[in-house]
Amino acid sequence: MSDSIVEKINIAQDFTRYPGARYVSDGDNSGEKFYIIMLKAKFEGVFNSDNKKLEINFDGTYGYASSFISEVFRRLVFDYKDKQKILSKLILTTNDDPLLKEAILSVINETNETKSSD
Amino acid sequence: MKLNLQIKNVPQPLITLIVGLIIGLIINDLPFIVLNKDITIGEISNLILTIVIALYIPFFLDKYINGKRVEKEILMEGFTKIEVDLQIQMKTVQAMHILESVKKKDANSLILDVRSISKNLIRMEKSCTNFLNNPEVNLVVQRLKDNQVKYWEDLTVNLKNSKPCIDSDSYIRTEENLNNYIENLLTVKFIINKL
Repeated sequence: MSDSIVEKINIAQDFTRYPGARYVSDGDNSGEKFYIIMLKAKFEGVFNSDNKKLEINFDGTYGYASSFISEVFRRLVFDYKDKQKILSKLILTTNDDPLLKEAILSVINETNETKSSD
Repeated sequence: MKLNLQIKNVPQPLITLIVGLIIGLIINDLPFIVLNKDITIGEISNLILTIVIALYIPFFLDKYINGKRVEKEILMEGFTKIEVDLQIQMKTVQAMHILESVKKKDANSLILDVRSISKNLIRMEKSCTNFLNNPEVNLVVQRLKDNQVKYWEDLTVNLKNSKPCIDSDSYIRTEENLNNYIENLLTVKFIINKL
C-alpha cells in the first residue's frame, strides 16, 4: 500500500476559495458543481484502480457550508455505493477545521447508498 | 554598638549551632528531664525520614498541587471561552433569523466564526490529553466534538445560498444543539474542577 499513487485535488487552488451551497441553482461554486466537474472525474479513475488514492485538501478556503459537504459526499456514495471502498480511497486534509473530516465521515456513513444522485 | 556589629559578622548557621548546643546543655542539666542517649538506627532513619517529608511537602508537593491547580484553571478558562463565544454567536444567529435575510458578508463571517470555535475545541482536546488525560474528561470532549459538528451542520446549511438565511428549522435545531453543547461544556468544567 506504501507504493500507491495519490491523485490530488486542492479545493482552494483547483476549484475556488469561496465554496458555495448545495445545488448549482443555489448560487456559485456549489457542491453539485464541484462534484460533477472535478471530483467525479478524478474519483472514477481512483475507484477503479487497485493502487490509487485521492487526496482532497479542504484548506485555504473561506469556510464550508454543511450543504456543500453533504451534497458532494452524498453523491459520491450514490454513485459508487461501496462505502468501505470509498473511505479506503480517500485521504482528507482538513487542517483549517479538523472537525470537517468527522463531518464528512458522518455524511458518508449516514447516506443510503441505494438511492441515485440523479 | 561594637558588640552588635561583631554578632552581625558571624554566620547565622554558626549562631544557630551555638544556641542549639547551649539549649542542649541546659536541658541536659535539668533534673526532671531524662534523655535517653541510646540511639538506634531505626530512630535515626525515622528522623531523616521526618526531615525529608518536612522538606518535601512545602517544596515539591505544594509546587505540584499548585501546578495542577493552574493547569485546571487554564483548561476551565478555555472551555469558558468557547461557551462565551457560542453565546455571542447565538445572539447573532437570533438577529439573523429575525431579519429573515442575511447579508453575504455576515453569513461568511458567521461560518468563519463557527470554524474558529471548532479549532479552539481541537486545541482544548489536545491540552486535556496532554495535561489531564482523564478518561471521563476525554469522553465529554468527544461529545463536545459531536456537538460542534452538529452545530455547524444545522447552522450553516443555508448560509452559502445566493440568498443566505437561517430559516425556522435551522434556527430551532441550532438552539437545541447549542443547549446540548453548553450542557456538555458545563459538565467538562465540573469534572475538571473535581479532579
